[in-house]
Amino acid sequence: MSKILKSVKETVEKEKLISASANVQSDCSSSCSDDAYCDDYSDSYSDDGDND
Amino acid sequence: MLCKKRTIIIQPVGIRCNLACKYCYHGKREISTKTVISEEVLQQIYRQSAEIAENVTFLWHGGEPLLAGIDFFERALDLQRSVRFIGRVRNTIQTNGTLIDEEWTKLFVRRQMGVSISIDGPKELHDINRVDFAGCGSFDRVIQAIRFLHSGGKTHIGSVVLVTKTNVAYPDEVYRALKNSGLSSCAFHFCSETNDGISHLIPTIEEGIRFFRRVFDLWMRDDDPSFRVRNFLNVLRVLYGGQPLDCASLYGSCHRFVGINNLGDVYFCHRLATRSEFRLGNILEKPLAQILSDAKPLYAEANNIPNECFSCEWFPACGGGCPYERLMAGGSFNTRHPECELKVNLFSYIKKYVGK
Repeated sequence: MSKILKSVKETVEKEKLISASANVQSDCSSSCSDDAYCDDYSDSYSDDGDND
Repeated sequence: MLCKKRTIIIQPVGIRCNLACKYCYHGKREISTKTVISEEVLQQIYRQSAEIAENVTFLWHGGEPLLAGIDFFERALDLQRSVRFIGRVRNTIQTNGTLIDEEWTKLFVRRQMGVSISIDGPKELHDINRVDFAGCGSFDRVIQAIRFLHSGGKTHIGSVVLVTKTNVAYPDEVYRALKNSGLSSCAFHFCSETNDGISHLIPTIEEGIRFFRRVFDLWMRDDDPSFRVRNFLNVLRVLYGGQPLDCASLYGSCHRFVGINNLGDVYFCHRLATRSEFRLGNILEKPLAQILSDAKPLYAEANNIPNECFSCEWFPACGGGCPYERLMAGGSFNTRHPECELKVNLFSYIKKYVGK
């Protein structure tokens, strides 16, 4: 497996583990309920190279 | 209304800019308007952001945000420290890079600000569209900025690249220019907007497919995880069971991104900051939480995508695409994203590669 693919796979698996153990509560709108799972998303029209 | 994380996109000088890029989505700039965001507005932005999200990212955007000046940013970031946030606070800046010097670099490093620079490839391609008001290309100033950042200790520098008719036939040159300039990541945007006078800059879907496939091949051949291409990472993350990284690919995520201009006007998205129908209110007149709550019908409307999107194999990686781009392409949010065919083709190409 290439280094890039390995890196992405490991990052996603790590995020899943953190998400599963975080037990984060969110009381905003229902469409926000997956926030614990996607804490590293960012605006599409910027890329600071440091968001994960 | 407390979310885990929100990004507040602040336009400290509105859409004022020192460049006159030929494809700018803000169109004609209000060059005469030189109002820099006031401390009163900033204070309200900070206080009210802390009330709607645990973790807040302040993305300083424009126009060109550095036109506000170093002293402004020093004061603005000091002011931020006086507000108590529940969780993490980050500051990041999207800039054309032309004003960055040693002093700016010191500020970015000292304040731990993320930096993203707009660049369209090598000088001969970049300078065609990214010009100042005198018509001069900005590439040399951008490269100088990257050098300042590197020598000042800024190791992570992101970039945004617009793929236009100008550079779409040169994927090798664009990719190498990004890597050779020492950038650590990039996000490609496909020029598909319909602002007056830029139709000649919009590549065909076929050209886009060839460009992105070639860049993906080059990225895979380099196999350097320290250089991130967000367009491809989004897809790979989904293929491995994760989610995309950016708002344009996450269905229903617009409400997590709030655009606020130098006058305190709150917009559905900073990309719509010149369209009054998407002005949600003013932070000095109404609490931000109330403004966002009142705008729920608009957010719901933005989620209105064609039914076939929901059954598409690639919905988790695309999310129906950026509502702004759907709106610009078809006049309503319920429009198939203009890059749909490109995305399906590229995503399938990446999936095939991963399955090898």
